[in-house]
Amino acid sequence: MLFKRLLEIFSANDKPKTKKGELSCKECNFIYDNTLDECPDCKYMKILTDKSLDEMNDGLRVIRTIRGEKAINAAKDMGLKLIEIRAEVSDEFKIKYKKVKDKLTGKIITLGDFREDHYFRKSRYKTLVDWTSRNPSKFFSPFAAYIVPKDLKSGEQVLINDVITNHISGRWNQGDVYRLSKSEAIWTGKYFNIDVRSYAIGEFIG
Amino acid sequence: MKLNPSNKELYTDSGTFLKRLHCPVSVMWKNMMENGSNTRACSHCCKTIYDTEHLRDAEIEHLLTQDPQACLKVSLNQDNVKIVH
Repeated sequence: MLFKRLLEIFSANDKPKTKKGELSCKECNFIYDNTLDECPDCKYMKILTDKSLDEMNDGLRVIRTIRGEKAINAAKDMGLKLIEIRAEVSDEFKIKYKKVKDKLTGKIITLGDFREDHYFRKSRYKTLVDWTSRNPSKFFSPFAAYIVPKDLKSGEQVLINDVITNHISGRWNQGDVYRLSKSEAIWTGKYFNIDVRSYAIGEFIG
Repeated sequence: MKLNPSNKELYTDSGTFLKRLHCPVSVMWKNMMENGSNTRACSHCCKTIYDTEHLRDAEIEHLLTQDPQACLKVSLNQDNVKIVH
């Protein structure tokens, strides 16, 4: 019994300590924010090992982005050509929200539009968080890089699925400002010239 | 109707899922030819795109029941759209 307890204590000490809102990856022990779907370290390492490096989308070559020291160092070891850019969170992006709780069901609802306010009357809905805004940009690491195909020619148009630099994708007249995450770009031979209009979200079609 | 700009999902005001607005060819409304009072033709896939600015939820539901692959155009700032996250 005592041995079992001691084993529990020592094995628990081996695990990395997580704070509230954090998870520890079972594969690599990396501690990450619990709002992320998967361990970011493992996610970007997988990009280096899967076949997505040769992916095409509507005739355009897809440029892969990797984030974090581990994936960047591994890419360098693999001899891949990288454009390293510092990933910084910009203050200009914001999404407003309000949280209310249904007094009858206990359900918590997140509102994003001022016009919804009148649907959620105070008699039934209690305001938990009044209108405020948050910056949705959150990078787990300041280190990021594009993997540049070695045969990429200057002037070639490409698709970048995870843009590192900060560009405004769209503005809503209620004040929300969205960040461009995906974009077409032109390879200049030295850097990617981002075509913001290609994936701007002023209008949605589909 | 309600639109979530993050995942591009469109719902009715009562919360019924309508469709995900995903265009793989990233076309632009202003580059399309008008082919009706509230519609334009897409040169990439020869489909008609419906402007939802003057459509009610029931009309969009009816349209998508008739043709689940129908293409819609929704602007962030149009009056009949509420943004949800």
